[in-house]
Amino acid sequence: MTLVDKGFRVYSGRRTPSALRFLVLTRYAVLEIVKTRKAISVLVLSAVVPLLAATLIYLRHNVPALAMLPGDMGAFVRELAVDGTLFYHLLRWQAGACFFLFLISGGTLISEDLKDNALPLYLSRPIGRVEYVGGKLAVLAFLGSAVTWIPLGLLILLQTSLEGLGWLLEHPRIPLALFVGSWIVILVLGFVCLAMSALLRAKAAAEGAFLSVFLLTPLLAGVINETLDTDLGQLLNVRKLVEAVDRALFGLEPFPELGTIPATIALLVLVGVCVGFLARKVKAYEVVK
Amino acid sequence: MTTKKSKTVEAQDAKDPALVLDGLGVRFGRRWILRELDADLGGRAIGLLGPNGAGKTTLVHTLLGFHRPQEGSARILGHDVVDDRRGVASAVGYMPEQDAFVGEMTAVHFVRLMGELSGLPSQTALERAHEALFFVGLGEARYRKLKSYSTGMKQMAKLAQALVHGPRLLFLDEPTNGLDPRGRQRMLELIRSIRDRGEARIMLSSHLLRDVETVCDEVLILKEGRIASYCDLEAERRSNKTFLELEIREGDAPGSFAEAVADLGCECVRNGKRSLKVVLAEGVTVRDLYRVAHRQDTQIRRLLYKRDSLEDIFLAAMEDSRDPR
Repeated sequence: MTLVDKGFRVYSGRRTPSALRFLVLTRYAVLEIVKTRKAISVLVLSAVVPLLAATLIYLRHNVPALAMLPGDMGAFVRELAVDGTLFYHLLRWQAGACFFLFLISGGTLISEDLKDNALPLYLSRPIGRVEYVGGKLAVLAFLGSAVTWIPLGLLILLQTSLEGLGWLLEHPRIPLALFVGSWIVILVLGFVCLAMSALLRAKAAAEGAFLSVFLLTPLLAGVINETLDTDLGQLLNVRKLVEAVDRALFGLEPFPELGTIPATIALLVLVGVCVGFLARKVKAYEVVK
Repeated sequence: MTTKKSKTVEAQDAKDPALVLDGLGVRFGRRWILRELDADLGGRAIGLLGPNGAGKTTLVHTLLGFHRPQEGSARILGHDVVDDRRGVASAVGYMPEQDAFVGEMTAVHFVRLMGELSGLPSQTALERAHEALFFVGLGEARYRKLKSYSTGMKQMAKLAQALVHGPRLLFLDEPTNGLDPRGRQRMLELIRSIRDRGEARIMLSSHLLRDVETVCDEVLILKEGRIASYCDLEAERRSNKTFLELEIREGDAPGSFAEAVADLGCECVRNGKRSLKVVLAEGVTVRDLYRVAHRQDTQIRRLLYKRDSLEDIFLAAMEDSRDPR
């Protein structure tokens, strides 16, 4: 490294492709997140259920190993149906892991830049506001993918390799439902997380707000349903909205109190509101009128 | 490695004026913040002067693409600030007025990130981040988190991030804000060294006349969102244009004395009750002024050779901004 000439020099060398430059933000943020013990712990714990499921799928196809299991357990594994219902429940479980991962790692993604007024520095460079938010969302997409469709997709590959291609042809809906359902979870959680991070500059406040969106909305929905004797309160229950859409994707019976179309519309409205908050807050400077 | 394309861009940038404003106007709500700005600035260091609220920062923000102009256009090094925002952003470095950093990052990590966002490959960005931090005097502190820096160090870190990608135009918004005299001197030395190297142009926005005067060769003075005055300091310095400031005895008639001096062909204006400013005409000497004073029975009590300082130009612009250039 040359440190002899300390004078200022204009740079006229090669530049990286501008279309992918927003991923610089993603790389820096991911490297910071995976340095933390909390994030590593959640990532490790999130692998427990897929590993357990992989073990069960393996045992189900391994007769000698199955014979070694105690009676009830052997029967349980043998009877285990590897179908849409199983993968729906696995996705629900992994969505929970995704939520905790976003909770501990997403709160500071934008708030830290806003707190220290770094946005003018980012936005004076050849990246725009959309790319900035895209770079931050890609952080959550990367982490979310690591705990949802990637491990569960590997389970599908394991099941297909053990059961044969026939299983996949019999259940063509599962991989698509898993992929689309995972992205719905990632995008809904991701946009809510980024909106909270942009609205509240303090890390603890952003984390608290993100937690309350998912913990308090079911309570609020219940109160509205009870007091007004209606089912419309469910439209405020974000977790249930995601579940309702996922059920439709996996071809399961819909919730009687919440249809797929109202749930999809409510989720789109939620994401739209979050995008609105981000558009309002992610600016180089706020104009005081 | 220097590609053919980047060489072409570099050559083009060298030819283009640093900044061209063509009827630029910016409005927030119903209020015009900038109006009818026309200028063609090509100096190595351009000063942007004006009292608080004159629109200096809004102009810088508009040039950086943070605000969209409602009328007119602006070009930086040949790039239109609206149609070619990426081209502008790649060519400029920006040091904002307020504190701006990511406190949890070390200086070298932060400056490297900024370099990479400007398009530098990762390794090059790291090398240049080290160099930029050494250049601004933060070499020893480059592995410290930015939140632990003093105000002066944060200012220097802001300068380093503005330099890391080797821009061709540097926007410096009040760079000496919050600095002690030594820090201020150091900052101005750094800016002058960048200017003297001649590779990048500088646009310095400040309300401190001294800073602008020591760094800039062109000055644009704004008042209430309009251009109140333009001054080519370099040309003024080269022309070595001086004038005399005379003070006459109390009770003497300055009007008739001024008229008599003007009859000699000199430019003469009254500058207060007893004071006059005189630019001598070709062939007229100070001795001639004393002769005129003698004839008028006027006593010259004080006579000084002076040069218009930026302060004079600024004050005149503030008083006479009804006739913007």
